[in-house]
Amino acid sequence: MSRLAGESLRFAGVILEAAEAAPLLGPAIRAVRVRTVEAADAARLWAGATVRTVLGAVIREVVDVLTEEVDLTDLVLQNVDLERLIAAVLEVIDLDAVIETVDLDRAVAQVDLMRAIDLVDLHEVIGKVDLDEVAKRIDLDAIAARIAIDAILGRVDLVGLAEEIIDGVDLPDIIREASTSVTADVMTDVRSSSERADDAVANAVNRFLRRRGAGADVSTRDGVDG
Amino acid sequence: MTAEPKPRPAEPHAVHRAHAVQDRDKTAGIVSRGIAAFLDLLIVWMILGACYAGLSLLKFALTVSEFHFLHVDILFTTTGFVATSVLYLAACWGVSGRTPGSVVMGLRVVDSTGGRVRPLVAVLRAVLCTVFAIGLVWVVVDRRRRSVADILLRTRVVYSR
Repeated sequence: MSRLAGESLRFAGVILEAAEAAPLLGPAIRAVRVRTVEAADAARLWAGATVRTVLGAVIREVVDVLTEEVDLTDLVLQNVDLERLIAAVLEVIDLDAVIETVDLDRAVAQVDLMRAIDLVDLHEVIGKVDLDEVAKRIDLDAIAARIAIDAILGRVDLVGLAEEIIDGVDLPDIIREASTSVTADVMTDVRSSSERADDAVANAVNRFLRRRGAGADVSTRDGVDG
Repeated sequence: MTAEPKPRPAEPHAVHRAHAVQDRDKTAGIVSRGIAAFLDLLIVWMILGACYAGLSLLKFALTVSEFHFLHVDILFTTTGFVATSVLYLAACWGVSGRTPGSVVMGLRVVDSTGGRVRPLVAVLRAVLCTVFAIGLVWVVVDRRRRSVADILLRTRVVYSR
């Protein structure tokens, strides 16, 4: 049928070209053809616009009805393989490029970090970390080698610090206490030794002179012979 | 920055432990007193030496050009020694009953009642002990450990520490 229509159209075209080529009537036929073609184009354009408008209105109405009647989320969850979908999406998206476009500094500046930290139970976190293991892996020597102690000491007012410390410590009192106790110990030793020597000499003399109970005369009062 | 003086805790005995001296009733024997006397002798010599050095320095300051050391016998004479000793002993005994030698050995000269000796007694005892130093040996023989000076002046030397 369509072939027949096509053949007829082609035939009509050949006839029309032949008619246009004819003398006298040719220009008039061409003018009629051009006007007809223009009218047909205008009609097609109008029809397309009208159809689009009508269809848009109808579709909008239909979608409104659909979203009102049907729970789309449920529908998606039930019928769509989300994992596959996400995998496919992720394959398409270049995450590095996305990350590069994000201004993380600005984002971080907007976050109240202290409040976030308050939410975390740090003790529990620390309990999970094997600190000994971590400490073993730290090369303290290397760290110490990198520290410029001279520079640090240069910034510290060592003399002022020492003066402050010495001010806080009552050094004279400590020295006094120490020397007093040492001196007192030595003195006590010397004195008790000499007292024993006194008694020894007195005893020897008493024995030599054959005296008895001479020690009692040493003190004037009885029983206070400490 | 000055540290605030620390408030000392209230002690029942205000005297420092090392300075809390108590006389005992026991009379000291020859060893303690001998050592104390020897220490005092050393101190008297030191006083004489210090006086000599001081005089020499004074002379040097006054006559720098024609300086020569003083003759030793200007001070180190019997008279000088006796005078210094008497002064030194009398002053110490009169003030506290203790010479530095006695302090080291823990001794004190007291009168018959156990109190401090009177100044006159201190001077007399100083003269006796200096001129008749050998009288100390009587401590060995005496039953109550008295030296000749103690017997004459009714004094005693007790342990005091």
